[in-house]
Amino acid sequence: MDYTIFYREELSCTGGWDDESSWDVFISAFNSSERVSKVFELVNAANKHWIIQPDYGYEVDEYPQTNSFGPYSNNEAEFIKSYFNDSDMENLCQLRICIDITGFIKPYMMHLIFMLKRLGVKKLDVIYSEPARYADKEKTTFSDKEVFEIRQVYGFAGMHKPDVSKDILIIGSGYDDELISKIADNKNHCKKLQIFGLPSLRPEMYQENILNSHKASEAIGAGIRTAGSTYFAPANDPFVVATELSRVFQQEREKKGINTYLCPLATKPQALGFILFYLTECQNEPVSIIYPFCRSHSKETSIGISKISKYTLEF
Amino acid sequence: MGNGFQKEAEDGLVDQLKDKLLAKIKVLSETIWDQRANRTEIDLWLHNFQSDDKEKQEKERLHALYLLSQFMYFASNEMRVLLHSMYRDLIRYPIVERIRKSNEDTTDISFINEEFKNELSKTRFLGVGNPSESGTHLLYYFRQESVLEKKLFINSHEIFSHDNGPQATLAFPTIKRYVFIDDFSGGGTQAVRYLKNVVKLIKELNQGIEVWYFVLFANESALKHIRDNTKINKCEAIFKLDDTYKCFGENSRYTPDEEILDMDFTHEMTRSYGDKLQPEHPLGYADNQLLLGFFHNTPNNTLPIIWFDEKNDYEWSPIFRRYPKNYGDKA
Amino acid sequence: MIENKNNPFDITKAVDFSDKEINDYWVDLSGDSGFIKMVKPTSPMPMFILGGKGSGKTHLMRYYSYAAQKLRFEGDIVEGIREDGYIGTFLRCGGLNANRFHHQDSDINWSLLFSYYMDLWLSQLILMVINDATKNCDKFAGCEEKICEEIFELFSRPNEDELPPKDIGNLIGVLHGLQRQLDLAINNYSFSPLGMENVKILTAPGKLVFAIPQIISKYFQPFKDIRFLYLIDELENLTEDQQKYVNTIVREKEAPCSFKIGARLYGLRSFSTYSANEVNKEGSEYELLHLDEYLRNISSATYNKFAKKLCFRRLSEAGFIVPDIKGIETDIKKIANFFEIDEKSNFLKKSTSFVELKYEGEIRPYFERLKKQLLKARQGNEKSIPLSAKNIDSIINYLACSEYPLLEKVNIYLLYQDWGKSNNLVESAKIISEECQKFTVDNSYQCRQKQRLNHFQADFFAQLLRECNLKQRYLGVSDFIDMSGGLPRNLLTILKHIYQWSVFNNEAPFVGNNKISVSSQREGVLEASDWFFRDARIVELNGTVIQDSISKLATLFRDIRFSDKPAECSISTFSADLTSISATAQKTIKASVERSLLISIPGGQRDRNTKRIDSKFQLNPMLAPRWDLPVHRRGAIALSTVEVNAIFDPEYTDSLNELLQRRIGRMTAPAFGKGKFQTSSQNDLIDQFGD
Repeated sequence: MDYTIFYREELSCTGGWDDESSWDVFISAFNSSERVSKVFELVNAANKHWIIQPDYGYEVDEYPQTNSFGPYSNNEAEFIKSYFNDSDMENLCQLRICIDITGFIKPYMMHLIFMLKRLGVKKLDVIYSEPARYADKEKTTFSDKEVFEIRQVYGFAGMHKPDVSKDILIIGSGYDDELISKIADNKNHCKKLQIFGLPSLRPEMYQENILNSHKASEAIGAGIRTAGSTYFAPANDPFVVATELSRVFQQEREKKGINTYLCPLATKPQALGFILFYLTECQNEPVSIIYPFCRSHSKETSIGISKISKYTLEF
Repeated sequence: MGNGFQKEAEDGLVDQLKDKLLAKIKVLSETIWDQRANRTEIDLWLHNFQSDDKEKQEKERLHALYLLSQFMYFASNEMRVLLHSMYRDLIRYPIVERIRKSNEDTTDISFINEEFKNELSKTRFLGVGNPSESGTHLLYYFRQESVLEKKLFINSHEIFSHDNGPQATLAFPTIKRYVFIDDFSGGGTQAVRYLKNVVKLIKELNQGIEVWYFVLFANESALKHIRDNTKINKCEAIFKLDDTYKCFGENSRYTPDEEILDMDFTHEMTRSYGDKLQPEHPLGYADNQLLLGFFHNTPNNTLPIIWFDEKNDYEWSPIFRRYPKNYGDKA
Repeated sequence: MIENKNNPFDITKAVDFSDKEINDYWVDLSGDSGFIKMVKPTSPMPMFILGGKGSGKTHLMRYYSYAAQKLRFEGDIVEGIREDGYIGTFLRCGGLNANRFHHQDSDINWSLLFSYYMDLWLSQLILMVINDATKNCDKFAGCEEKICEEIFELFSRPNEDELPPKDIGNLIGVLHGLQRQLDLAINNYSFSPLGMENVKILTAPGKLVFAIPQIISKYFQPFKDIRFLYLIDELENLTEDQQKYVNTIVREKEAPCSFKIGARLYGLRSFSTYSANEVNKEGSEYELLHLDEYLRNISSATYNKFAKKLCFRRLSEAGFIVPDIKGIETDIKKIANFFEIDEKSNFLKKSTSFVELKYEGEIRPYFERLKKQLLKARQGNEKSIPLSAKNIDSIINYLACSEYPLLEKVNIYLLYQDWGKSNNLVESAKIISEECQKFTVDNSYQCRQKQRLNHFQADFFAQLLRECNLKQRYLGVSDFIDMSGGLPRNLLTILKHIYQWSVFNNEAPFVGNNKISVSSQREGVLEASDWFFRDARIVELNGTVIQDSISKLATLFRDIRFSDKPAECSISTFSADLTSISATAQKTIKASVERSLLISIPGGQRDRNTKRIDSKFQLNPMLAPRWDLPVHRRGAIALSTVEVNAIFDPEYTDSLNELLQRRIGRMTAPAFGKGKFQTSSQNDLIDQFGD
């Protein structure tokens, strides 16, 4: 399937967006980074919602009190269920909805989009903003690395087959080699494929990514130049990611009914690509998205704002 | 700071850092640098840094090693990925977007592909510079990665025809779009030099024809220069380089974390050797001070100590050599 | 740029092998240690196979699975199975995604659901195996329909008119359909719980597991007497409750079935069952094979040979070596030749030549330090009589033996010993010198130097390297094999990293007469050691506690090794009375053993004072290079209760520094823990100068 025909657009960092970029509902996940608040301000929407995720550990006086939902359970299905209950939105499939995924922790983002599709939403705008720079070159920590469980994300669990001899695990490899190793270890028996962000957000990031993820190479069991084990898609284009996944999946599938595990560990747009691919092609297939659930996440990992991208998902 | 390190106390630290840098370079070399910087090559290059003062020599070599560990190199695998991205994301997507928007946002893939094929047939791809240039060299890979027919690729002189007298006309009046592909643009002057008149003439003959210029790596100033000095419709880079990529600039991203490393020393050292290698541009063409190289070429905007391999009075073994052009340096 | 040959040691995990490669790379242990005997695939007695990461457990289990069995048969598969006496069905628990079977605030019987799911899974697997094995067998075709009918009868079906499938392929389809129904309901439960209402459990737990093999062996004559072996691997992926189900089917097993259950060391959560909550007992309901312990305890000559064969196999498969017609014994000797090692010489003269090189014309660092210490010394028991500069020089001159730095180290050590006994130091040095001279002429001369060297040679050499700012040396295949601590994967990992460094250093390893340099070996070993340490954290939630503890322990060992007068030689082992330490410390030690960071030494250690048998643990030799420790196990220290707590229990960490200073203080000149030079505020009456 070719997802690269879907619309994407760069929005101005200073606002003044056209009518196409205005919505009935705008949903953003609160965190302390400048770009998340800035976008919230710039957006033109009838209703703007702040999602407060428990993993950031905000105190009550640290997050906005109006139009905020949460913090609820850290189980993504429970969380989104509570959000829908409290926000009391009706006829979702007829509303123009936009989500800013920048501050979202991936499982919540995944389940939210899953539920929106399930409730009939056919078109969804997603915004992602890029930082001016990250805090610390190769050493950026996004989570505290204490993974308390690795499991399928609710809504993204497949129907697997007992013959596991040809299972594959596709990892969207990011900077965090420990997470990569943990996931690879958890699905020890799978053949592992990696997707790297190239073009990366900045030229040096690709090399930095390789340096970091190299530490997980023992767990992965293959090097970057090993044929058929490495794929590339732009770090900020979910549609190419989804298209690549689709291509790899079809290719591997020709080798007969294999279980596939997906794990997006890199950028949010990349994760969006995984979500799109899954929701379009993998429901009721032996495919699951698994994820390393951490106890907490750092509140701010970036400085400034350099680019705002809008992606239009179509189901 | 002195010429050497305080011997006893720092002995361990120097070796530790050296090991760390070598280990980093080793990982790069065996993964995405395609073995271009193995020990022999590194030692040969470090050997360039010589001094009667042994402590100074050690210090220079350590700092040179640091610079090498910060180098950005794109091998052929990666360049192909970038070229494919250029086609898919900068060329194909905008056309597809236009097709969809003018057809009620259709998602009929066959229809879109058919329309795109039509648009493609009215598009021509060209390199920047003459055929032996590295830019045009990449056209081959670009064509391969994008799976395009040979006939879509022409040279700039083929745009025009003089069949009907001295006044030039468009050789292919049905072509709506000329796309220029380049690998690197440091200041934009070469691109402007090459494109300005071509674009001007195209526009004079048919205002509606689109001319696009896409480059893999470009300084932000280069893109601006091209936009300001030509009538080009689109000018974009896959990777934009801002002033943080200027090695010894104010906002340099290469400032080391390790206290034992001294950026001023490195600057001085690089300049001093650079003066011997490239007296006019000791820190790279137009003082660009880049640490960037590609499998097919290292731009001369990169620090000369990295690439210098020309015949000169001064003996130098490069680590990422450059293939010099005959006519002059690339901007 | 050299030719880029693939790293022959690249694939270090069994999971990355194809079935053919499992067979190709199989290296059997020789003689009585043969794997067949160890694992006993035809035995009715179930077996739990515990192995650390990289112990070869999965490799072993896959070897006995049908997929690999099949490739070993030359002719008829059915006949091959009959001769083997068993057919192996391999299940990986990871594939079940078992953590789905749980939901807070739910009144669903998730345990029952899980057991049904697992039964369906196992059933499909065994049927797939049978289907493949008998696909060209007419005899089976003759009874296939009957078999399917009887298996179908095992399910209570709401629709009585439903016809049974006529062949195994379709039967598998039916079972898979039932499994999918479950998947749908379970996967959607969190947002659509009503789906669960349609789920029906159609067989009793365990029924399918035993009945299917029984039915097959009843009707299919060639399989009448074979063992239907379930190889269930990755048990650590199941919760305690789910493991209880597995324990139950182990306990309730029926012929012709048996089980081999594989788990990581930390993966066995329980031996209890649902059979009236009885607990399975070793020797009674199951046998236990502790694979890495087994490998460590076979004679080192046998493991050595096994390990070298493994390396050889890799190198020959990768095209580096061609097998010699003289046979495997010759082949494996060749391997050692590829690695540069220190040349043997009298008193390590050649290996220690770096000392002279670095300090030519200057005072050697250990004498420099001794000098400083002597300046602070007091002569004998007399107070306030410092040694004169002349005396100090005499002492140093006596102890010097410039051709043999190693002997200089021994001499200093002997001086320290005498110092502790408050002897006249100049006199001591003179005697030491005389003995030393005789020893250099005749290395069989019985003297204190000889005695010390027998114990501390490796440590003195290590100290020399350190004092000259050189890295420690771990060289040669034997060292690597010792480092692997009984886990074959560790050996492969070490060699993989060494190979990479050797290629980076442009040495063209394993080609012709090329030798892999000292430097490449060292860097590779260090990387492998580092990886091992980091990797152990990966699966554990409280990994940092374990890692920190190991770090503290290793640092203690290192401080001892590089002290002036180490109490024990080649130290990497400690003993302790586990009954007296805190619960957290016990837990940490247990977890460290389960992650192979510590190795439990069977037999323990008899405490010299109380005669009590204490537990004994060695730091995994894979970690040795990270802390400059020896890979060969020799000396051990007895740690007190407070020391163990301080190392292994975060609550007691504060006292650690003081405890360590006290212990190391006893090995540090000039005070050796006594008098006003004590670093601790308390008087230390225990005089342990080691022997």
